Amino acid sequence: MTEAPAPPCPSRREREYDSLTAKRQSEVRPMSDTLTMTYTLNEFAADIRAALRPTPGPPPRRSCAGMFHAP
Amino acid sequence: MRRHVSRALTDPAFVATHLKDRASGANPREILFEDPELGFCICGHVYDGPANGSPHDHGESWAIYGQATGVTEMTDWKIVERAAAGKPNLVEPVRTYEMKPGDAHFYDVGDVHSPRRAAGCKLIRIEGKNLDHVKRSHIKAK
Repeated sequence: MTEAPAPPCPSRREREYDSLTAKRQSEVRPMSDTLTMTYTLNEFAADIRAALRPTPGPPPRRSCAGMFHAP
Repeated sequence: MRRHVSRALTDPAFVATHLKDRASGANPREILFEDPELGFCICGHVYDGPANGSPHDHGESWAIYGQATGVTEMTDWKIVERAAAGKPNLVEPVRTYEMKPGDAHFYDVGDVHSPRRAAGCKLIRIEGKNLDHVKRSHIKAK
């Protein structure tokens, strides 16, 4: 039985290069890239609006009971 | 709802955009959004130093506190003597807990609580109604 070939292992020099490259890339990455808006105020408001809209069926006993729990 | 608040609280860009540091002496509270139909508000509160509140409720409104940065030590209170003849509601503390970044807590109509903030912090408060126009209960610690 022949063993499967081991996955290629990067040489030490390659690993150092990759590490340095990654470090430099993170250092030069502009702030706007790291602070990309993923959740806008309009989206947030729309989500809250949707959560607050009454759903068909019997009325809830409390205004927002059950939506939140203690941290 | 909790998911949405937590998502906003843990979004660095959302916090950076909507919870900017205030000018010295400025009102910590800013209404970011007020819904014309349902009446709820999304508010940003930014404190640049210690801020302690006495026991209070939000009158006829509920509210959600969401901690974005810093820590709030919150105490829940129970009413042990109802207001009567011009006297305030008397309350006693029930429990105290810390709210850390990402935490959100719902306070229903009439829930009495008091925040202590030993240092500056930022939070999002969602109000069932704009609390600028809501009359609060008269509350005093027993």
